[in-house]
Amino acid sequence: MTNELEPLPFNAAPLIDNPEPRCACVLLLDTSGSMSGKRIEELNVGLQQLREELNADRLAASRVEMAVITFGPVTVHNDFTTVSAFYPPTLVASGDTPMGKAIETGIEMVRARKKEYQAVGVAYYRPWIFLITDGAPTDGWSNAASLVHKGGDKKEFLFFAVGVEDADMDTLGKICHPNRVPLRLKGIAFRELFAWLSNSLSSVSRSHPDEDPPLTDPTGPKGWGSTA
Amino acid sequence: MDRECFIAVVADGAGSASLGGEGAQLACRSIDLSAREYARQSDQLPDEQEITAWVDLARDRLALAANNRGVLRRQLASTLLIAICTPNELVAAHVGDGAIAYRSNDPDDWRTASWPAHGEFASTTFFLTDDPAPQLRYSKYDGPIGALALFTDGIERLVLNFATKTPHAPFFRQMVSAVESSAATGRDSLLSIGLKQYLDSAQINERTDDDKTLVLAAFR
Repeated sequence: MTNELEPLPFNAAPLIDNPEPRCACVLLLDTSGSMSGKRIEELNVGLQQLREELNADRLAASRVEMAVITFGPVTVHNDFTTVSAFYPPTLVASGDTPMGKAIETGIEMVRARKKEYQAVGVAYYRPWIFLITDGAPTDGWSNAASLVHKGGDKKEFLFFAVGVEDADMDTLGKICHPNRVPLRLKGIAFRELFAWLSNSLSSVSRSHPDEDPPLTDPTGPKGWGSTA
Repeated sequence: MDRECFIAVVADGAGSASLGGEGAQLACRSIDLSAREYARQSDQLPDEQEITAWVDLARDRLALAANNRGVLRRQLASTLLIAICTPNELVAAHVGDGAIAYRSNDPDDWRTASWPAHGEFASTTFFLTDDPAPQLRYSKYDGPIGALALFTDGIERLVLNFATKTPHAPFFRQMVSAVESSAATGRDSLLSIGLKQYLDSAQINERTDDDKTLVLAAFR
C-alpha cells in the first residue's frame, strides 16, 4: 500500500526533448519596377511586423521557418530559417516579373526542406507558399501552374496568391489551385495581410493532429482581401 | 487462456469530432469485451484477422451510436491502442498516434511495439472510424515481457526519441519501478491517483496542453 505521505513516486521522471514539429513558409515577393513607391514601402513595413509578431508567439517562434524569394530577377534572400534568426531584407523595386520561375524555385525549396526534415526525423506541418504580386508574369508560367495544381491535388503544400492593385488576377487564377483562389489585396493593406499571416502561422503551429487550423477569412468585412 | 494474460485498451477522441470522447469510451468498451470473450475461449494470442473482427464490431457499434445521436460516425472518431500479453508474448494493434512500448526482464531494454502513425504531416492522423477501413497496424513479439506502457499523443513527444525511433528508457524505467514496488496485484488505485497527479503536474503541462493517457503494467 503506498504511503500517502511519501513523495509521489512519479516525480521528476526524466523526459526527453525532441525537436519541435516545423512549419515552413516561403514568401514569393514581387519587387518589379511597378512595386516602387508606396507599395514597396508598405510591403517592407509588413515584413518587419511579421517578424515581430512571430517572435512574440512562443509556439510559432519554435516551429515556424521562414524563407524569402523576390522576383525579378529571382533571388533567394532568406533560406529557411527559424523565426529568431529571420531578418527580412529591405526590398527595393526594380526589374521584371519572372513569376513562373519564382514559383518553381519556391516549390523546389519546399520539397528540399521536407526531405531534410525526413532525413533527421523531424515532424512537419504542410508547408506554405505565399505569393504577392502587383502585375503579370513576364516569363513562361504554365509549368508553375501545373506544379501548383498537382501540389494542391496531392496536398503537398498550401499555395496562396495575393494580387495587389493592378495585378493580373486572371492569370493568377489560372496558376492557383481551384481550392484556393487568388485574393486581391484591399489597396496596400500589407500590414493587415501580414498580421493575418502571422496569426495563421501561429494557428498552424498549435494545430492538433487531426484538425485543419482555423484560418480567419481574409475576405470578411475587416479582412485585407477580396475575391478577384 | 491457460496462462496469465493482460489486456490494455486505450483510445483518444479526435479533437475535431463533436463526440470524440464518447467514441473513445465506446471503442474501449467494445474492444475490451471482444478481447475478454476471446481470452476465455482461446489459448493463443489473437492474430490479425481476429483483432480486425473486434475492430469491425467496434465500428458497427460506433455507427449505431452515431445513428442514435443523429450524427455521422466520424463525430465519434478516436485513435485506438490495444496490447495483449502473456509473460512471453505480446500482441499490439494500433490505429493512429500515441504508442505502445514494452521491455523484457532487463530494466533498461525498452522497445517500441507500435510507433505513432501521423501521416506525412504533424497535423494529420488516423482514426478507428476512417473509411473505407481504418489503418490498423498489427505486430507480435516473442520473448519475456516484463513491463508494458501504452500512451496517447499528448505525451509521445516527451517520452519517445524521434531521432532514433525508440522509447526514452530513463523515463519508463523510473515510471515502471514505481509500479513494480507496488504490493497490489491488478490495479493499484493509490498509485493510479499518483500517476494522474503526475500527468496533471506543471512539469508535464508546460510541455504539452493536450489530453494525456498513460497505462503502465509490470509482470511479477
